[in-house]
Amino acid sequence: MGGVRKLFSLIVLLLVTAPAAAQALRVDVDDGALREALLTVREQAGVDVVFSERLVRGKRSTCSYDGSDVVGALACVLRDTGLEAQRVRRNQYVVVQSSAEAASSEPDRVTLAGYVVDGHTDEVLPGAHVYLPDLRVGTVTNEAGFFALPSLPPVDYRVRVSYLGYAPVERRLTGGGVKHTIPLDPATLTSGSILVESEAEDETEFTSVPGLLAESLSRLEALPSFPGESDLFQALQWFPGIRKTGEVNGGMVIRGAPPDQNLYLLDGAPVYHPWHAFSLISIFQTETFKSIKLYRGSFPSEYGGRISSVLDAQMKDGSRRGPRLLVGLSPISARFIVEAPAAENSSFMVAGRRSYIDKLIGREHPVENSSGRRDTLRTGYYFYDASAKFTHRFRRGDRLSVSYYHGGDDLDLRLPFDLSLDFSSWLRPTDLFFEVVHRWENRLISSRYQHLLSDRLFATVTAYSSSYLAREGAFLRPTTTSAMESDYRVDLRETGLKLDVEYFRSLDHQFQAGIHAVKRDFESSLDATIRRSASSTDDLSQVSAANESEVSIYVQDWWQPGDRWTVRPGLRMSVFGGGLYTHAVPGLSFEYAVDPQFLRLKMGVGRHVQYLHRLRDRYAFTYDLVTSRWIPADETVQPSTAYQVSGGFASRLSDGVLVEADAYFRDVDGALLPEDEFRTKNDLVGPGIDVGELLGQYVPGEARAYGIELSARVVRPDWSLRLIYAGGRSLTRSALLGEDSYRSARYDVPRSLRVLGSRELGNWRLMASLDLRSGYPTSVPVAQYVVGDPLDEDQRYLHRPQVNNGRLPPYFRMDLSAERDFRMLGADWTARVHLYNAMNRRNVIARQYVPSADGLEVQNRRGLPILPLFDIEMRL
Amino acid sequence: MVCLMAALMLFGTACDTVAPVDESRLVVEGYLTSGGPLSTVQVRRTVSPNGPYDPARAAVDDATVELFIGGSTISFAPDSKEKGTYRPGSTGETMVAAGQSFSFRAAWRGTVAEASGIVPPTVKLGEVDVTVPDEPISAVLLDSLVLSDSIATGLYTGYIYPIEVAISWNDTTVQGWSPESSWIRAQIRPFSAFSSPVIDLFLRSDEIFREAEQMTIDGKRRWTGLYAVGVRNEDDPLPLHRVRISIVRSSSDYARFAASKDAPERREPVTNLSGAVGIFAAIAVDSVDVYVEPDGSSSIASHPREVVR
Repeated sequence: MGGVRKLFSLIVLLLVTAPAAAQALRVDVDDGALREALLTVREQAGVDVVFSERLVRGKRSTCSYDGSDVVGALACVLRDTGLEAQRVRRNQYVVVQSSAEAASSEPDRVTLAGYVVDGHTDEVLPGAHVYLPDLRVGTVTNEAGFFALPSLPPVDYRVRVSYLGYAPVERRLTGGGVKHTIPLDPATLTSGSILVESEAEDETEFTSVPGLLAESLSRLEALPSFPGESDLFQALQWFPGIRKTGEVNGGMVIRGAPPDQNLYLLDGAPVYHPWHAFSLISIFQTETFKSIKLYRGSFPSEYGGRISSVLDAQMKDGSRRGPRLLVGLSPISARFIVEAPAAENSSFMVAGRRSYIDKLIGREHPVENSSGRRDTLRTGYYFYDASAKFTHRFRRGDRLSVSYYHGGDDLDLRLPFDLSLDFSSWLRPTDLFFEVVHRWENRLISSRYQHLLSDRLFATVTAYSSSYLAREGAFLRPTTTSAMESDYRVDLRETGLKLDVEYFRSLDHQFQAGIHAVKRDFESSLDATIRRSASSTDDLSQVSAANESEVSIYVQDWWQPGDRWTVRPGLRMSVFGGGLYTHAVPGLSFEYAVDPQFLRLKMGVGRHVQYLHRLRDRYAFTYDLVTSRWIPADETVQPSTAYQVSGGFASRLSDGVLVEADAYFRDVDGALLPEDEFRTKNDLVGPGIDVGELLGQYVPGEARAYGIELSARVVRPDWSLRLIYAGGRSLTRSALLGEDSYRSARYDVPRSLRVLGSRELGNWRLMASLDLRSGYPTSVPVAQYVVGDPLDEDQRYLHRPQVNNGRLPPYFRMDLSAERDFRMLGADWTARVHLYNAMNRRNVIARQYVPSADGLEVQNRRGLPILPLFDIEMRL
Repeated sequence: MVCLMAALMLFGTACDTVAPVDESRLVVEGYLTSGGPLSTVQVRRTVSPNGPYDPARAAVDDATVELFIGGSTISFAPDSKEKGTYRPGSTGETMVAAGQSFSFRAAWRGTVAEASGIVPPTVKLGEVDVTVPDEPISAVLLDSLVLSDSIATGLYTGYIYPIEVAISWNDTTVQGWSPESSWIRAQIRPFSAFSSPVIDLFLRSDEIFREAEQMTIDGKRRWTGLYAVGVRNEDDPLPLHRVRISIVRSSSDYARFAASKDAPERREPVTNLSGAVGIFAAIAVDSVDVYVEPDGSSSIASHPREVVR
């Protein structure tokens, strides 16, 4: 980690030693216009001198100055004008009325503060940019949509406010006690089109916070998504370094890190299993959110608990202007969102979604055979989401919101073993059958109180409870005298309390500090009975329970040492398990605008710690299928720690053309790797659910990931093109496995390229996307041999000396989609048709090598064929 | 320079680090049977997987093979008639005694394979009790499990006789042998072929476990296994068949090897050798063949109790 320290030192050195040029100034004005005299000083000194036209209009100046002091030159120019220049930041001055002429009650410095809201719904907009072009200083609204620019001389300023997906506005505002409310109207796009974007929107995007993936929700909603409906995790795959583990399902891999290293937050509460339909789609319905922040790589110190990335989603507060309704139907689910004002200062949002395949094929099927024997077979599966949020504003700067989410999956099967493609053959009474009951759910409630304590001090208190419950039940009856019954339950509950305080100290410094206390309870149980024959029965009953607490404090600064620099140092300290582990982890990110309109450089370094490991039993295929368990660090298993460094640039080559490049490096200690990579679930029950038994299947190891990400986006009025290239490696090694050098990790993808093109033709929008990437690693046999045993015949084996020494064939897929907006029955409609895998290329997604008479036989499992999908959405 | 860096970033980061692997890895197979004479050792090498397995090509006949046991070193010489087979040198009939420590070494073209351990106490099967149901039961059968893109499982309904076999064996130890590290492999192996991956999960015809954790009755360890014999129809009688019942006592070296050797399509067995694959371990073994009659009675077959190969 010496390299990280050197890099950190270099950054600090650059910041500290940035020279302040001493400029020779010569001003010689004899009863000239004050405005011109001020411009002369500004030009010669190379500093910002901001003044109101109203203030200097008609005023004259007489001054003769020869020196190098900007303050002296300004004082000379403003002599006898009743005005004075006040320094607001380094090299920035504002001309105000001198104290003698100003009203005595007027303060010398004021805070320009307010809220940025959606002009249609009054929804507050977190993350909006508020910028003073003349001072070249700005800030970003907090979670309450609040901003503050303190220590400003009391004049009016030109203020530009922008937010992704909204049309920017520019106003003249004066600081003081007034809290301004700045409404932004959604960009005049055609029904959430991603194609037509204003220049200013690009600018907002161009000035994003380092490490933060910025994207408007409307654009995310419109990105292609496999099941047809808008899914956040599917849409995020259109950004560099992000993809799902499987072809269409699986967890989210960000920069090569496995899914359990990502933190998913919903209104401040963590979500432990954000998936439906066996990870086909996420619980994050894009339409229900007002803001989404995804930090890849090093993230701010206010976040902790994971070592790869953070996804922070905020539910909509609900429209305060009038009721709004969205109804949608996709190939797998139906959904609605209602938002409306509840009272003068209150609003709510209620959303629901449910899959309907069980309604089509039925959940229960009473059957009867010719001999009158009856049975009830079951083919039930559905998932559901219910979200609600209520927000009340007691007064300006005083808000309370309560968010609720409950979602889950329910699989209930009872079917004969001998299934065939003839579905009618399933529905008959049978002695030999299997039953599977899988239910898993997330339930969370979060309450957040936001209070403006003063012009410069904002406090947020968040209390939440989040639980993840899962049950996997199985009953197998393969013979009339044998059966297996298992009931496996996982219960994880987290309760937390957070206090965050933001202090807007000056234009240069915006401090944030907080404390976060968490209690987690883990409980798992397994009851299994295996009746092997009429007289032989095995029972297994186990309970595993643990609870841990964690307290974290953090402090971070949004420091703008100059008009081109944004620096965010931070420190997070956490105490886990009653003092068992204590970590203080620093973080630093900065952005430097080489040319604010053309080129910006970004960089971030940080260390993160994760006290939870997600493990999966690798023996039993009757349980632990969808409910991988989280295990807290303890005396026997260390937490994972990671160093992350990333840097890059963003360049707007011209209007509508944005190019970004990032390079990253991550080094992880304390990762848990499978002790036996070749073990697959092949037993009815494994060693059990005891944590020790589970940990026995893993060994501590190291992980490393590095790579580059390039993206280019061209946006024109009627077409757009997005190119994304990611090149990198994700590697692991463990000394306990005898590995001296790193090898490919499970989700290592050295190269991937994605292309998305869009074209708008009237009310039609056509999209084509290409996905090309390296195949996943696989362990390829390099030899064969025979070895015998005292009890068995000689057996031939394929020699696989190295794990993941080869790759599956490259993956390639092309999707096409067409979308049309129209009005019907007084509502706005959007209809989409999506052609998944339009070329019907059967990609190899898994491979097995089997010994055969000819040496080895390759058995491939292939991906999905061509699939037509649809989605229709109605908005009122 | 900038172009060079860009090229490195684009392509350098994407280099695959798959390392070439020497195809000719040494393969050793040898067992020291407690209470018996020294056995032969097989020394082979791995060969290319892209073609049928050729035993002659795999055989290694120029290795140096040595065993240190009982205070003396025994050299093994290649058998000129059986390529890859090494026989103990002319030191007389060396018997392998329980509690002896040993170390094995095979060298071939710069590669050295080594293993060591302790010879376990001999094991002897006691009672064998076979229980047969009166009639067959219906069962879901499957010829093989393969990756498939189809939802069809290939399962069908047939009939089987599930047969229980209870065995016991002596629970003894010797100096140098730790009962806590003693493992048992018990196997029931009918000579009539039957296999169904679904049913196999419920059978218990081959199990490996810690000996100390197995129940004891009258000073003897007991284990009950279950195997099945398939029949065509629900009224078919149990066919007369022979079943071999075997038991192996060993350290964890052989137990790990045996527990990981039954899925050649997924993995290779865990070796206890450094510098080679395969196994060289000391074991104690006993086996008995039993005839199971259609009426459910059973009788010991007149079969010598020796290592079954």
